Amino acid sequence: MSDAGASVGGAAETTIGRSGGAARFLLRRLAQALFVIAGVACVTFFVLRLVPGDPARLMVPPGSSEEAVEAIRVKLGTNLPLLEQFATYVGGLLQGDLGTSFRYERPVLDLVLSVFPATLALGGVAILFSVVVAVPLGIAAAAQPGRLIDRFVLVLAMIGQSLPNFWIGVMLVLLLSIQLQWLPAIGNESAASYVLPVITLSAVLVATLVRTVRQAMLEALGEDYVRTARAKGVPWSRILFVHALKNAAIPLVTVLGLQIGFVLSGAFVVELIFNWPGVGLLALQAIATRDFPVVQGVVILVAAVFVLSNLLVDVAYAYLNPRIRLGVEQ
Amino acid sequence: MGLLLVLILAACALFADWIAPHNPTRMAPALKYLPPSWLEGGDPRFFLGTDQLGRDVLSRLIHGARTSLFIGVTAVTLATLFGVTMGLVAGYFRGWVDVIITRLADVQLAFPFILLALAILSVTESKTALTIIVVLAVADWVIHARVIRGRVLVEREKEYVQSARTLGASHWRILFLYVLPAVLPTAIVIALIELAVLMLVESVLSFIGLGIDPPAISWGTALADGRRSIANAWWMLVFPGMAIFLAVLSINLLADGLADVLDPRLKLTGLARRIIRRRPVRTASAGREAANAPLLAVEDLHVEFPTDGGPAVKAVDGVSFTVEPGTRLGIVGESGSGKSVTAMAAMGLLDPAARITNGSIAYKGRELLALSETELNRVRGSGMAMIFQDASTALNPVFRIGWQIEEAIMLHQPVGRAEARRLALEKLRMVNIAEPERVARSYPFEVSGGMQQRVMIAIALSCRPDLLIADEPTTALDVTTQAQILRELDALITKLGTGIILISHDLGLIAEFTDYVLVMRDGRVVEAGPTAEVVSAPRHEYTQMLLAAVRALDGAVQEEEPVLVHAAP
Repeated sequence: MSDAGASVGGAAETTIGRSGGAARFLLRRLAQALFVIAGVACVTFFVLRLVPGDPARLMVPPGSSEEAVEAIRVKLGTNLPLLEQFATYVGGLLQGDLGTSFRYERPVLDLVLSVFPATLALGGVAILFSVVVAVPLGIAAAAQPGRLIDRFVLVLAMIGQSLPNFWIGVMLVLLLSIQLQWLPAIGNESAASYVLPVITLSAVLVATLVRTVRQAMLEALGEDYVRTARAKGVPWSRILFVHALKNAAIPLVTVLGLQIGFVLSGAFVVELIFNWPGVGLLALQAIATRDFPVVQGVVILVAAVFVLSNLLVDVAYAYLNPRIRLGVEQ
Repeated sequence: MGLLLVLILAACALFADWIAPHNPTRMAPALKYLPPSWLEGGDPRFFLGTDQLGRDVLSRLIHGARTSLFIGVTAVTLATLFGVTMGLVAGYFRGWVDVIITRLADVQLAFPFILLALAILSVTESKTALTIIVVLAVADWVIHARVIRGRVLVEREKEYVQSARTLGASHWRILFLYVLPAVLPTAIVIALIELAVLMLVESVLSFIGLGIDPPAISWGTALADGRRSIANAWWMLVFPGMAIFLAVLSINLLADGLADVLDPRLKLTGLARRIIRRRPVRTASAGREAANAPLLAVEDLHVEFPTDGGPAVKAVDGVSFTVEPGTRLGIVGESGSGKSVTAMAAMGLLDPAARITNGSIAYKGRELLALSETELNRVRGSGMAMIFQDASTALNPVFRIGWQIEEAIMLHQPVGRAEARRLALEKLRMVNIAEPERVARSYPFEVSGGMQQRVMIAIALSCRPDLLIADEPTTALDVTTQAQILRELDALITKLGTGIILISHDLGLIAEFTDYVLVMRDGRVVEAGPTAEVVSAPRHEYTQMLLAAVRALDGAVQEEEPVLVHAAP
């Protein structure tokens, strides 16, 4: 019984470490998230200051006097030494002050937060829609590899991977809004106005996810535990949807986390096409009107949202993968 | 297919000045918004129509190919050179260099790329091809670095690198002469995949007005023009988009084709492993009367595995045996002898590629090969059960041990969840697990290998099967645990009256635990009979060889000792 004794001792140890492992894991991820946000804030600051080009000069009409440019520099604070600017910037950040918009004369934070819900709604619906479409398709493909449904899914994924999403967007507008006049092309007032932007934003995501699900399911179905389940007499459908799917969900969640960044990036284009009043549109307008504090604010806040949503993904990941939850593996 | 399109694309880019029918920047306000030539109002000179300034759409597309491809290829080349170097250095030297590079990569990946591009491009006064290339390369190197680092980590542990190191080759020599060539195929495929990505990104940037400045021509800019003219010139939208799509698709196809040859793991379309459920086989032999039928009767079983091109491999070639209730049959043989394939065939768990070409497998007189998967599922787990060699992979890692036992119970017995839970704990106690409640709550990876195999036995015996097939049940365990688990298993099946097929390469083990034995080699049974007889007077030379091997191993410890006596538990 030496073996049993030793392993019961081992199990006791992990059980004690259980809640500790999960807490440690989350704390570590939280620390990493804060580190990344701080990194993004620094990078943004220095990129905007050090890239050749003077924001002040871009903001005045061509041919303005040197005094006018200097006045703008003072207003922007870019006349000060770089380190002093950085100190002011970090001090402001710590108090939640991201500066003031030139154009709207409002605090950047207010401005960005006021349009954020529109972007989150669009991105959230798009992610939900993609998962709902991609997961069943991926499972169906993996259940019958090499068959018709599988080939169809692979071709679909290849096409989706290669389509520029903004083109899908404008083509949808051309066909469904202008030619057929079925759906609104701009704005976000009604549920119908979600249809085109969500499809546009989801197209590439569906392609990526369906491939991930298919691959993860195929891998899971090739594992020994599937053979064990069959030896137990578990029906095939239950093997697919319970035994394999829970394992396949782990890589799916990882990929989904990485894709949040692409959804946020895609939102910039989609918001431009559909005139969707979100952060992307705000940022593009700010770039066009040289409203640099807003550009900077959008970059930092979007990065923060991205990092925090990845933190949520990590929590989901830990929930799905007991090895992580119990702090056994890194 | 992909290659052909890529070649056309490259030709457009290189010879744009000769191919394009018109000067792409010449404006002709009088000729603006002309539809494609085949439509009413179209001008035969302008095949795909003209844009808002009367410029030829086709010529602009051909010249756009040059911009897109030039920016994409240059950016990817830079990103690959830098990223691969970083990946090589990080993966090979490990230590603090690795920490710095991976942390940097993590921070950059945690940051949506387009934001970085927006930040940089919004403050640059003029956006030349160079600006865009630098921005794209800066954003992209991380991907190359990460993938290559992962490959190097694998490569550096391989023998040829280790031996080069032992021979005293310098680090840089090893890195560039040995490791780099090994990871190069991966680097090439990644570069192609990323070329497609960067060309898409370039067009997105142009589309939102952060691309290359005019008069340079980009497909993204052309599409942005088209969007403004959406109401009156659909051709300005359709064709540039089509161009981007086809270009990116062809590069992706090429990457996929190359991945097939160079590094199949990177295939975008993924590996197609065949997982097809087994189908009932019609066999001629009818089942005998169930009343006096043996527990399991295998008759003239033939299993083949098709090979690429060559003739099928006969894994099992005419095997017959019977197992009577409560008896122990051992199947012994080296790996590849067909002993496991025979067992898998009996359980209906053969690899999808395998084909049963002839024979019959009857459980209590019922032909298993003729059963559908659903019918077979009623037998598997309840009448016949199986335990496998490696319990650490045979248990599902994301479900608790208790759940996995309860599932088996609830599939075959009409009990509720609470009763199943109680029974599961009972089964754990049955296999000598001291703290069943705790183990039931644990995940498989939380317990030792011996414990995992006990759990497997608990699952297999949970519904009191008449026949247990144990395929090398203790090979993955250390020697002391092996003997102990086998003794416990022996006692259990004696108590429950379960028949067993014990499969092993170890004749000593078979001799100790079975009543009858089949000696298999190359898919055939070379000798069969009561274990004691076969072991004391082996007739076939192969059996004598196996026996000699066991004696040679044991001889050192217990000379001339009769190793092969049926040991009392």
